[in-house]
Amino acid sequence: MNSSNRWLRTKVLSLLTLLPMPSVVLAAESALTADANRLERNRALKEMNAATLGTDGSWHLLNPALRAMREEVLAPLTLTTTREKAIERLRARHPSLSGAEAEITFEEVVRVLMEKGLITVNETELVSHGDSHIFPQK
Amino acid sequence: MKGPVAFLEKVLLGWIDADRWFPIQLDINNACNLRCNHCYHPHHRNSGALRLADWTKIYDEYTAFCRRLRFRPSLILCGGEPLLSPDLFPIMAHARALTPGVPISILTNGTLITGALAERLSSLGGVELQMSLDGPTEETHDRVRGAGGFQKVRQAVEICKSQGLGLHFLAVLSRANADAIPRFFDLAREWGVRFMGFTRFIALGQGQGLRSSGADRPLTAPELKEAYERILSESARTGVQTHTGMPLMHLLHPTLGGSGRFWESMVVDYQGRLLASSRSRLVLGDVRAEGLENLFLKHPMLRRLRAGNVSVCGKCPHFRRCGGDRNAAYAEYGNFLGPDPGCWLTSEKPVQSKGAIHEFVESMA
Repeated sequence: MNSSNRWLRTKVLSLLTLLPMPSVVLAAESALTADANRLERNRALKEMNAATLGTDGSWHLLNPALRAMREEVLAPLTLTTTREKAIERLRARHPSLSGAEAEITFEEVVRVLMEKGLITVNETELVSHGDSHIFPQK
Repeated sequence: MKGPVAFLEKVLLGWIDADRWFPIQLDINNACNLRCNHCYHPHHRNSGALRLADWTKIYDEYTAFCRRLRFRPSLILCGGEPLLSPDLFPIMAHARALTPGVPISILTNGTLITGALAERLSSLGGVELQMSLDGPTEETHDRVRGAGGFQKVRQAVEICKSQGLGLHFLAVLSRANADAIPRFFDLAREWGVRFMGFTRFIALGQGQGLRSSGADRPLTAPELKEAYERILSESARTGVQTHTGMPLMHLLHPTLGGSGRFWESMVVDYQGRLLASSRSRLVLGDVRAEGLENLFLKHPMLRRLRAGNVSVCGKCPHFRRCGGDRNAAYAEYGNFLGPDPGCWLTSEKPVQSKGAIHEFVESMA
């Protein structure tokens, strides 16, 4: 989703939260939160990618499941890696990815791999599967 | 709801397509074989507990709610001690029949697990256990949970591993065990448990006595920050996963947090009452009389929570990812929508306790 579509979606969702329909309000609020989480995650991933892998200050804070996934899949990607090379490496490591799926931006890598069941990362949080949604902090 | 409004609602929900996990926790009984001194339950009497037919009806309603709002269901079974309930397996069977593949989590003290039980659980597939571990040594764990508990947990771990059951540890984090965080992780690694989670000690129920006696207390804001940092670094050191979504964790790093908000799951207690959260025991209404969806969507307090109408936290730029720990607010100030007493961003300006003011009183005033 590009930024203008995202902006529009956010605006519409925000308007929907004002409707006198509690189910729509809850779904819209939930979608807004999920979208915000995705954005936050993607931004953080970009920031991490911009840093030297494995040595930036944020690295040690990450969940080991994510770190292991990054080491396996994302570590070959460096600032000097071309996008094509990165995609080529991704496809080599995970042949089940289609060409279209490999044509993804860096920040989409996590989501696609998860959908293919190749990694176990919650789609909205950088936590392991079975973590936030299985044992919410209630 | 009928006619054009229902049609419009359906269209809008289809467009929104929230598509995210939305767990329900069913406290299927209140009986427990242990008497832990930090327990948030005030007692373990089980009178008035729902029957199986009630639970299946509630699960049906939950499933319909998830379908309509396009949420993915996830079932959490708790108590009391859920392994004591004769309805445990029938409820799981019903859930699997209605929602095939639904992830099921059982929150247990781990002392009642036998080989036969683990085998039966394992045969269902997709069932995970969260087992309580409140000290990394026999002495520290048994001080909370009673003599022999630590060894029983150790045996249960071996049994679960032999049956291939997914297993998490959860410790109640307090002043008494915060210094042992590294040893918790070492123990989990030594025993082959892949996940070591923590949740904050809430001085409610039996826990009130523990706090007033001076034997233990919740961590202060600076202590909590230090403990969370240690949890994350120990997780990284040992390779044992931990919960990174808790309230306040977002303050440590932008990728963390995000799953501690209290409006994205439901809790129904053993008498069929919708609770604001399992630990607060704050009753929002009777599910059988008022309807699960109706209560959850329309309750004034939950609407205020979802709208961010929360004291101090609601004005924080981190609110959507952090939320603040509502249980801690309720335990400290008697206000579920109060500030999080453990927040290190606001700890320099402490909020005066309002005493045990029920949230309803405030919201209706």
